Amino acid sequence: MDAATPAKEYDVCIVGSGAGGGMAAKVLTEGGARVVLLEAGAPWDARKDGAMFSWSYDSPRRGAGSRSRPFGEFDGCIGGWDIEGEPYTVADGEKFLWFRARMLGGRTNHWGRISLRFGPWDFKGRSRDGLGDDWPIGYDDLSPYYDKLDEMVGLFGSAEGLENEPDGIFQPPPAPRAYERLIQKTCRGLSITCIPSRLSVLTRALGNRPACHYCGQCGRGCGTASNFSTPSVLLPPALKTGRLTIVTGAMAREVLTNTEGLATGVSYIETATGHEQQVKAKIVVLAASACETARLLLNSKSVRHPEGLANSSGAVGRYLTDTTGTSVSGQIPALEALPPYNEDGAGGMHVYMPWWLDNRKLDFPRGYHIEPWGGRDMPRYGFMSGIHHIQGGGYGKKLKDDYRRLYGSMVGLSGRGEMIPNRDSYCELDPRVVDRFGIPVLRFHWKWSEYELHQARHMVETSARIIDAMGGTVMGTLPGREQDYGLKRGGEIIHEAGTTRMGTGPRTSVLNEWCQAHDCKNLFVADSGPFVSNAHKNMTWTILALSMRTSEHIVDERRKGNL
Amino acid sequence: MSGTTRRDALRLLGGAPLAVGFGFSTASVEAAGEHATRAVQAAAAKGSSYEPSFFTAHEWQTVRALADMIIPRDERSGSATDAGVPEFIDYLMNDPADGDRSRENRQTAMRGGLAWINRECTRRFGHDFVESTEAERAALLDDIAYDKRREKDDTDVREPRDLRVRVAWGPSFFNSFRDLTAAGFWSSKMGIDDLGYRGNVMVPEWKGPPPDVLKRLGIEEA
Repeated sequence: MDAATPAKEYDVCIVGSGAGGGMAAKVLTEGGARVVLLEAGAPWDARKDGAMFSWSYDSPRRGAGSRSRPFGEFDGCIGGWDIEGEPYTVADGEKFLWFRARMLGGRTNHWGRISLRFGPWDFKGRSRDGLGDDWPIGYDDLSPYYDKLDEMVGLFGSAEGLENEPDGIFQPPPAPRAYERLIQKTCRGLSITCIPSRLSVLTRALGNRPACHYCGQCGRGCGTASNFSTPSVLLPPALKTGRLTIVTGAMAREVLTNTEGLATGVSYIETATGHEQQVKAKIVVLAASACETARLLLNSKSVRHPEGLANSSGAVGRYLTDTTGTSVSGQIPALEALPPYNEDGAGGMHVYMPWWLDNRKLDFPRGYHIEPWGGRDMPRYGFMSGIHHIQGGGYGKKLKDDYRRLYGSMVGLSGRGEMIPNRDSYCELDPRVVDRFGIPVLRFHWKWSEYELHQARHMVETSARIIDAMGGTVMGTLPGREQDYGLKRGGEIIHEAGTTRMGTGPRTSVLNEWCQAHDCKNLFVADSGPFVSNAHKNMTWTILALSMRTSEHIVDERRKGNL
Repeated sequence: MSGTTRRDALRLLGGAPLAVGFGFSTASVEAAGEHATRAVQAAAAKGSSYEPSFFTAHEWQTVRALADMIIPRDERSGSATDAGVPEFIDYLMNDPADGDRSRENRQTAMRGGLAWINRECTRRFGHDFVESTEAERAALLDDIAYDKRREKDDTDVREPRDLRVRVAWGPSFFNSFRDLTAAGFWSSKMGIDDLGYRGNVMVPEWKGPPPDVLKRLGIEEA
């Protein structure tokens, strides 16, 4: 990677190389801007650095997770819940988990490639049910960018014509696996919508990227760039313009401003040396992730911005949401001892259940979807752990045969729902704790409301009903009120949003309809911080579309001489 | 997948630039796995030349015996020790990728569990697990290996009836040891072959489940 040239003034400095930063780098460089991109982590290219096609037994650990790769040692995302030297804190008695990536491409190396558009209702929640706030833009404003994104990056799916699950420009979806066919059949009987999933995995070649070869290992990083991650899809064309400088190992500390309060660049720490560097730029785009961007703004205090940059509203760090999550698994006798076949498929679910009910008839205001999993995965560390809960334990020949019989017969259903922002869930600077670079860290505050608890109850009860209707047995006891109905902790679904939200008024929001700071016209945010609400749809596709829209706006404004 | 695309993918997967990144082709991985299996078998035939890094010599004998009782050799595949399970467990006990605290917890639970097994054998039979007869070993495992919650007449007690107070740790240790043994066995080449896992290969055209699988599930072809 290059070093930034200190004396040079770039047109744009982007902080973060994930979905938002990668898209901004592509659009801005292709639009003529000279861009410097800061990334806190190390270089990474899945085509060279990924562990695709490794066998469990290639490692003495057999794929077990580690501190920097909690999802397994072959996982393509380096970072985790607990990064050495980079703490965060949580208010007394509350729970929050923060997953961060430290690598080129950020969390585009982690996600499940679930690529769902927010629908018309999702931008106008308050108008529909009086809760939260409406976005300053609607689906029609973003749909042209979703269209361009579909064609640029590629995804599979099926046209369904569902009002709030807008169809995209899809490649054909892969056929469902055996257990997914059984789930589909069962859902039909229960009047639950179950359709082909929508994943940014190519089933047809696109440009120089070949179609998927169905090894099921998207999460390890794709050696053929057949799925989406920033380094394999967005950064190569940006680099090709000759106008992109990437600086890795650069931990942003503060956005620099001048006496008029405008951004003039970014101060960052070289993680390898601990030295502070500054890079000058006419425009700053923050895409460090919702919470890192909020932290950076709060740490950028000046006479003109005494509460932190772009925070005259006090909204930076507020309105923090995550997706709600539950998980119920079951053992399905019908799936026992099926004839062996290769069930890897694309890396993730081939079918899913989009929200199918009417919230006006329920005791929670917003929807959720269900993601099924199961099948004959590659056995690795943790294989059929806890088998005694299923068949009673034991040892010897019968146990060995039980493993053979039960392999592939487990099915899981993960509920993923929309949370309403609340005043008790936010992040702020911890007044006492700094990280190893001396940068003040975030302190999180978190509370679920009754809305999320009611929704979680509905998720787990519905999931249990599906497993039951498949003739299966639910594993464990269904969580009740005392267990928050199995609701995962805040942050655990890794969909943080809302900390620099958009809005029409500078008193209640950080950014305007172009994701431009009300208080600082040459500062933009391009991650999920601008989200006014956090629909249950996995956020990456909307981060990408919104970043594309913001970046095209910056290109236009630069041409007009406004920036 | 069109012919051109497939060729591109094959070139990408098998070609020189990427083979360096992956480190190995599918064939070489299989060869490595077979080599490992052979090495383990050779070591076993010679009376085990493996030097455990965590376990004492006596613990090592206990671990090997326990693992083979959990997954014995049968007509389809070898035993846990044939597949290198004790070596796998030994590695995990000193796993450098673990944090210090989780490593210490893991080590304490393992060392303490094995000590508990030996003490219980001594109490019952007058000698430790390694010195116990097959029948004595089986008698102990019969008491700690089964999840009693599943028995209708004893729904809320996890421990065997006759040892309700004393052996609270037994089933808990054994469940973890079973899980570790299974992870090591089924993730080995021997275990993966036994299960009939057919993946981790390039699939030029994904067709979904074969007709006989769908037929078994009572699903008509769509």
